[in-house]
Amino acid sequence: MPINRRNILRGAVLALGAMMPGAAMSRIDDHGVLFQSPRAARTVGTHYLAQHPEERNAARLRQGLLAGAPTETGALRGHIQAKCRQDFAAGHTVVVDGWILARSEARACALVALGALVA
Amino acid sequence: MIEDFREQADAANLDCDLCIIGAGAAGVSIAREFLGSAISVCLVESGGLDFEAETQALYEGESVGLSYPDLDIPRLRYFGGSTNHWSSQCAPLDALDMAPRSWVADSGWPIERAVLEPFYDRAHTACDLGENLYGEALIKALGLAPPAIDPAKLRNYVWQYRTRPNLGHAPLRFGAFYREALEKAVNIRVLLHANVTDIRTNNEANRVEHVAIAALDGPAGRIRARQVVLACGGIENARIMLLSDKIEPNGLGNRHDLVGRYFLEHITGFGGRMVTADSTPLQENYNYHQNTKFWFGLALSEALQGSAEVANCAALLQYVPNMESGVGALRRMWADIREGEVPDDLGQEVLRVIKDLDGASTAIWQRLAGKAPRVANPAEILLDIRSEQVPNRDSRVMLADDVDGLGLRRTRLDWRMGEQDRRTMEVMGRTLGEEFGRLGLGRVRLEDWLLATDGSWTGDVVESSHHMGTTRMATMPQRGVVDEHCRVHGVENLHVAGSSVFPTGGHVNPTLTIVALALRLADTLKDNLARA
Repeated sequence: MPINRRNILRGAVLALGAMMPGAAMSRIDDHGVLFQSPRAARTVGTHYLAQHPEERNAARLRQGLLAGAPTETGALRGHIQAKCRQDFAAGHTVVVDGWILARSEARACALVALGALVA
Repeated sequence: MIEDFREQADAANLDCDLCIIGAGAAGVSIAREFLGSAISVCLVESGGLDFEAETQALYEGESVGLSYPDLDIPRLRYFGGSTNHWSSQCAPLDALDMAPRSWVADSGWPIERAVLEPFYDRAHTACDLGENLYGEALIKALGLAPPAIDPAKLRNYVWQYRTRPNLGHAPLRFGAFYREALEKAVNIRVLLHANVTDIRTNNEANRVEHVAIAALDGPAGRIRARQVVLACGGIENARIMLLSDKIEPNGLGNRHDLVGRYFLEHITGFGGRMVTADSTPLQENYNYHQNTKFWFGLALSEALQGSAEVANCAALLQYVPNMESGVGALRRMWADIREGEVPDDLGQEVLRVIKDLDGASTAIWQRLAGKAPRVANPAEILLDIRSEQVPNRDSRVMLADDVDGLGLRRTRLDWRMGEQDRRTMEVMGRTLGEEFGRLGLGRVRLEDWLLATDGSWTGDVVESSHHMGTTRMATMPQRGVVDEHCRVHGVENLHVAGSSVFPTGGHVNPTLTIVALALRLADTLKDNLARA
């Protein structure tokens, strides 16, 4: 599946919660089911890891992104949304394959690309 | 009165107080200021009252720099000039546009922005626009509540258009609109089909003695005037000065090799696309308002321009209707009907409207209510980026070797852009992405060209047919062709009107500023002529 507007919309952006009220959110919980369109997220994640090879470490990425996250179903989404909001507010953004994303957003995609989060 | 030079033998040698060369936005605006006065004015126009291919061909030239449209395409050579095809999109320059900016080489006007404010008021009247009101004051007056963008990064920005109820944009054609007033004026003589072939000075090259004119395959003559204004547009002004080389071998006013240099454009390109789950908050604000009278977009803040060391830049959001939507079908059909054509694929288009009756009827209601129709579920939201170009001495207008129908050397254009121009547009795109992300409005994907630093990006942007900078304004003759009063340095009775005097051009369409400066020059000329 090519990375395109629709897949990004479904995958990396919407599924990560990405502050789009009213969007059809994909399932997200701490059992590894994260994206409706994992391939789009994987593509973004692959690009991100190519740009930041020093972050190619799933344990460290997971620790950084999910540390302190609540365990109940549905709450993880809010946790990631909050981290994305904080990133944007702090100017912690990255450009990945042209997309301007919160760093946490890109790291979540990197986790998918590393197989550490599975759709 | 309006006369055809080809049929006016007595016009072969004409004396007047003021000779204005070029009947476009600038020339007509200056001439109007002398209506009913004791000053005799000759307004010299190369073309007739309507488009003529033979005259238009005098604009043909060659381009040796970046890709540029054929030079007879972006401008029009007949009464009213290029206002015969402009869109009437207007906004004034910002204060920072005219200030010296340490990060923009060769920036800074010799006059402050505040000087132009009263002339912008008058220019609004001349362009038959509404009140001279922009920025946050206008947004408040429109009752808009735009998203809380960070003012340290972005500004809300509004352009104005001339519109007519239920017709949308109705650009003012200066020739047609002001023809009757000029026709009735006893002190103003509009000379059609009179091409300026030389501006001849005395031997010291400090005073214009006459303006040589000729018709295509017709008579030639001379106009002697106390004051002369060159108002032929950003390319032709430079060309005529370079062609006037009988006394000054490098061209009139060109002792410092500045005439034709610093050719500027406004650079535009689709710099990115946006995805959002709900475009309503964007469309309710960043869109047309009051039936396309106002167009609301965003611009870089002055603070960010300084900290990022980039030029001025704006962006508009373009909501691309879904091909199958009723609104899209209505828009296409309306566009065809306005052009006097039967819509392509009429049956299918009507079917699309019927299938999407809800969306189509909502769009019609919005239109009748004076709102720009919103696009339901747009196929795409494009970032339409419009940028200032930074001055570049090597971007220039020169004379070509071949000649036009009058035997005059044609224009050779060498348009250049630089890395700072790309970076300006990149900063605009990135900042939009960061702000829209922060506000939860969506995500932006930048186009590859916007991030390309190898120079290849220049093929992905286009010019705006805004020709500026070739007779730039500066206090010192070493830095500019005209002084702060638009007088050619060293030539006491020659002035230049039009965007060729802009040292920098901001990101806005130039016509409003062209008219404001022309009205200011008219006041100067009134003083000069009264004193003499």
